[in-house]
Amino acid sequence: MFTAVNSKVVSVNLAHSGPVVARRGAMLFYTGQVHFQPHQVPGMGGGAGGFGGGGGFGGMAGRMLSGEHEATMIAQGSGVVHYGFRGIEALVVDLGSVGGQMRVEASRLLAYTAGVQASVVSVASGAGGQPGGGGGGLFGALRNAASGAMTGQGMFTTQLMGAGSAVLLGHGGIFELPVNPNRPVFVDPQAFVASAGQVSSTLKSAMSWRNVGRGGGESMQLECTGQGVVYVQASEQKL
Amino acid sequence: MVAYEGQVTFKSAGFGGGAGVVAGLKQKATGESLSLMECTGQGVVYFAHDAAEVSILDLNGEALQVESEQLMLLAGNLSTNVTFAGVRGASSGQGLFTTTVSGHGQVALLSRGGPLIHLEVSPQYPLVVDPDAFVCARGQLTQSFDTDVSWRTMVGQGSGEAFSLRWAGTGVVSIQPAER
Amino acid sequence: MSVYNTVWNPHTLPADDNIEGNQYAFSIDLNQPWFMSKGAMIAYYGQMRFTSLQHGLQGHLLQMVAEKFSAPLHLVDFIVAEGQGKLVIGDRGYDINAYDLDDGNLTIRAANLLAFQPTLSLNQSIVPGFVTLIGTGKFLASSNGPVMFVEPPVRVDPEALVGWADCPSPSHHYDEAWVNDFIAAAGRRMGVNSGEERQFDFTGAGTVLVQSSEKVINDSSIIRSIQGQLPGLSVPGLQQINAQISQQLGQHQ
Repeated sequence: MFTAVNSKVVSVNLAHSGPVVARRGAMLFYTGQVHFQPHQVPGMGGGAGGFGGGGGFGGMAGRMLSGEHEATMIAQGSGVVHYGFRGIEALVVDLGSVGGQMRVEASRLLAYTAGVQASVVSVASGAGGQPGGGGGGLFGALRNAASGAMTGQGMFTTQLMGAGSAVLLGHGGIFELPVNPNRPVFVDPQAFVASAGQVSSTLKSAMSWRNVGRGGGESMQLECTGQGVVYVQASEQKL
Repeated sequence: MVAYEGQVTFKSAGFGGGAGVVAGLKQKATGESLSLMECTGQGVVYFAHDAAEVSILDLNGEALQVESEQLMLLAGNLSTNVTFAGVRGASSGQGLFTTTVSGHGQVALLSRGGPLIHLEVSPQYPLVVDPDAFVCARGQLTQSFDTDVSWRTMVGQGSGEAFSLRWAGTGVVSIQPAER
Repeated sequence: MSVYNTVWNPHTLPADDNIEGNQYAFSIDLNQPWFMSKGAMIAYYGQMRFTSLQHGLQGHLLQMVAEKFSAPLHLVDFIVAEGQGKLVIGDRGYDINAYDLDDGNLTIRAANLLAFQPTLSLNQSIVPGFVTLIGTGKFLASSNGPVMFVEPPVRVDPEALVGWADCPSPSHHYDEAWVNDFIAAAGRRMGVNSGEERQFDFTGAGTVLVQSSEKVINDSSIIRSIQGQLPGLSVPGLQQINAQISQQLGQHQ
C-alpha cells in the first residue's frame, strides 16, 4: 500500500507491498535495497515490443495509435521508495474500496502495486473491460480516434483490475464525484483523471447548429454514467 | 468548469462580458478584456482553473478593483466596469485601466502560487507591492507608482516591471505569492 | 478556511515565519540586512532599500559582501535588503521554509536558496550549481513541493536533491544490475535515461534535503557554469555535447 508523505509525494515499502510499477522518472529517493527495471504493460500494440516514450520506435503517429502509453519502470527489493512527479498532486486509491476496477489515463497514473492487473484498452470498449479491440469496427475506431484527437485523450486508456493500490496524478489536486444511475456526471475531458467501478464515459457535444460560435467554450463534455466514482483534477491542463 | 451534475447550460456572456454594449466598447477601447461565460440551470457546477488557488470574497456594496485575468467567477447580480487606474510606466505590460466589480454578492478570485494574502492599508502603514503580485484592492485607497526600484534590474528574473505600487489610505490589498 | 480570510497588518504579520496557512509566502521582520534572491519581494510595510550586489555597493555593504559572499558565480542573482518593517516574500509559488543553522554547514542548490542573514557566509561549492552556507544564522529555501528530511544511507534522484548538511558530499551511484541487464542496455542505446539508473549516493551522519518533485527549479547558475566551460572545448567535444542536448530536448517533447 502506498502512503502519502505530502500532497505530492507517496512512499511504498517494497518489503510489504511487493514489486511496484511506476512512471519512469518518478522516483525521488530510496533507502535500502531496491532494483529498477523497465516494464511493459500488456496490450500495447505496435512496434517490436518497444519502450514507448523516448522517441525510439515510431514517431508521433505511432504514439497516438499505440496509445499514450507512458514508459514505466518496475521496482523490486526490500527498501522504501518515494515517488513524485513534477510537483503534481497525487492521490492514493485502494482498488478494493472502489470495486476492484479502474480506468485511468496513462499520463495521470503515477504508480501501482504489481499485484494489480494492468492492460491497455481501447476507450471504446465497455466498462466491463475486454482488453484490446472495441466496438464499431473500422468506422467506430476512426470516430474514436477523431474524438480522441480532439479532446487530447487518445484512443486508449489503462485499465487496472484486482486487488492493490494505485496512485493518481491531478494538476492542482483531485476530487471525487460519485456516479449513480439516476445522477450522471459531466466532466471536462481535459480535467478527467480516472473512473472506478462500472462507469462508462461517452464524449458528448453540447453544441447544436444554433449555438455555433456562441458556446461558452464548454462544447465537449464527457458524460459519465453507471455506478461508481469519477476523479476530476483542478485544472484543464492535459498532463 | 471541470465537472457538473444536473441540467446546466453554458453560454458565452457576449460582448461586454454580460455588462452590456457600452461596457464592451470600453473594453475594446482600453484593452481590458473580460471574457465571461454564463451558467444557468439547475445543478451543481465545479470550477477550477489551471491548478490556481481560489479565494471567495463577499462584496457588500463596495467596489473591488481587480486584475481581470484573476477574476474567476461572479455572482450574477454584480456589475463590472472598466476604470482608469492612473498613469503607469510605459515599459510595463499593464494597461492604464483596470476592472472594477461592485454590488452585493460573491466573487471568486484566482491566485497563483498559493492562497491570496490580504494586507491591510491604513494611514499609519502604507503598503508597497510588486505589481505582478497584485491581485485586487478595496476600500478608500490611493495608488501611486514608485519608480525607484532598486530590487529589480533589467537583467534577470522578472525584469519586466520597473516600478512598484504604493498604496495609501484605508482598505485591504490582496496579493498572490507568485508573479503573474 | 478562516485563516485564508485573515487581513494582515505590520503588527500581526509574523516575524521571520511563513504566513499562517500559506507555505508559499514568508514574512521577514527586517531589522538587519538580508541577502535575498532577486525578484522575491512581493510586498512590504515600512522603509526599505534593495541594492543589487553587482554594482553600486558602498561602504559597510561593500565590506559585508566582500567578507561573506564568496560565490562570484551567484553574485548576480542576489540583492541586499535593508531598512525596517515587514517584508513579504514569495518565490514563483514554491514552498518556502526557514532553517536555523547553529555553527553548522549546509550545502544547498543555488537555485533553491531564497534568502539568508549575513551572519552566514556563502561559498561556492565544488559541486556545480551548489553553494555552502557556514556559520550561525537563518536562511530560507524554496522548493518544488515540501522538503523532506532523510538520513543517510539514501540514494536520491539528482533533480530532486535540494541539499545536505553535515554529511559528506554524495557520490554517483550507478545501478550495476541496470547497466548489465540486456533490456536495460538496449534502452540505454536508444537514449533512455531517467533518475532510476543514476542517483546521488549519501552515506555518513547528517541530513539530506529532498524536494517533492524531480522538476528542477530553473537553474541559471548551472547554465552559466556550463557556458563558462564551453570556450575551452575542441570541435569533437562540442559536437558530443550538442548531440546530448538535442537528445535531452527530444525527451522533453
